[in-house]
Amino acid sequence: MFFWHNYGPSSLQEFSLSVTILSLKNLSFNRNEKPVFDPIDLEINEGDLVHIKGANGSGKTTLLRILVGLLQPSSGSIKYQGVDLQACLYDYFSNITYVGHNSAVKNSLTVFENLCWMSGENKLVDSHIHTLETFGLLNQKDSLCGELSAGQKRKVALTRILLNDSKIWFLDEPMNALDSQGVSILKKAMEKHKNNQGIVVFASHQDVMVGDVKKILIRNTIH
Amino acid sequence: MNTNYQSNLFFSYMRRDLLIAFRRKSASLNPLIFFVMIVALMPLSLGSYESRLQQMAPGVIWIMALLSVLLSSESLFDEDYRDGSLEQMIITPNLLFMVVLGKITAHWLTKSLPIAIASPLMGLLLSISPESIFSLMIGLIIGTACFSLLGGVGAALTVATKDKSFLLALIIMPLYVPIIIFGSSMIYYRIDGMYWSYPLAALLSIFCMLTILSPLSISGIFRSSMVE
Repeated sequence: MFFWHNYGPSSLQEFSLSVTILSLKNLSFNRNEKPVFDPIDLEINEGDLVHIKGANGSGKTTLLRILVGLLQPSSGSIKYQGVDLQACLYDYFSNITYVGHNSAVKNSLTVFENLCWMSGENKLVDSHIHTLETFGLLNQKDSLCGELSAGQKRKVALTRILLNDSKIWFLDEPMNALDSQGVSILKKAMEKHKNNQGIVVFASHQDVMVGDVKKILIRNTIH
Repeated sequence: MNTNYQSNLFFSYMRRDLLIAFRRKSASLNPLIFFVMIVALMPLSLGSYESRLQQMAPGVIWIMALLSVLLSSESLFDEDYRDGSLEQMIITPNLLFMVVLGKITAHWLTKSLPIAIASPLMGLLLSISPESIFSLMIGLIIGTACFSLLGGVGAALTVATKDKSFLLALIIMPLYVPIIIFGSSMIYYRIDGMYWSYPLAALLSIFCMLTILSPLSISGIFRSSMVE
């Protein structure tokens, strides 16, 4: 289980009830020397569901990639447990799960083989079976992912969130291509994670009806 | 970091890429087929003069092996880039070094090593003396590993570029020169009755250097790509 590493930037004892895990100050990102979105100030606490909302091209994915650590902001700062993100990147990476716009699912591998690779296990373990059951993929476990529908592939990608005991989930348009059953499974997983004091940050242009959501509206400053 | 876990990471990525290559046999065999076909055409275009073939054979085989590996190595990280696996690799809380080394090893085993294994047959086709065949094969086993390691650097540099072939050749080709020189020298030394272990030692030292430097450079390239 995650969660608080001894070598981490700070320890659990230092926090009061509402623990701030990520804090963004005056965060902005420039592309071709033009700001992609207005500067953002935000604090993300334990048990937060954060919805990054905005029109197409407004910079939702860019913001999410900055939060994941895949991009560096042009100005402003991101602090993870009070420490600059760049100073504790490896510790941060071990506590996050990211499901991007692209699924990171290998078409030439079966569902089970993809799960093994995502979880770092070599054989079928109980957590794999449980995850496959949760997403309704148990019957497809030996199918090549290249033969699955877009929705099923998205479900395979989303299994990543249940396979790793990460504190923070970053999901980019997680509902895309999912059927109503898939959306319902995902919402339940997100709410359960929130109730376990986990954090879910997701980008979506749609309204998502889940629990108590903190919304960030992104406005594109280029157009 | 845990050494055992790091080696697991190496084997995990290598096994995954080997499995993918096994499932896509035609794509994996392309470099070998290209190599065999081009080298087999050489006697037809150069004429059947044995002495002329013998003189040119080492250089021809090494250059064809280089081109074959170069063709496949340009796409080493393409699929990972397209399907989002590269992002997952970058945010791994572990050393990217082992991940990259695992991928390059799988590339060498599936795309480059078959070329080295087929080289004795191609050598005989180009009238290389049977005594020199061993030095040709040993040289190509090490040489193709160097090609894969260097090709990985080029592939990482051009992963987001559309027309990469020319750019890749321009960036990486000069770095292949010492490998070609020492590799083909092994056979010329053997033919001339000199100690071919000298160029072999030089080739081995290049290989050792690249085994460390290439995955390090590739990791650096990917991590620095986090700044757009």
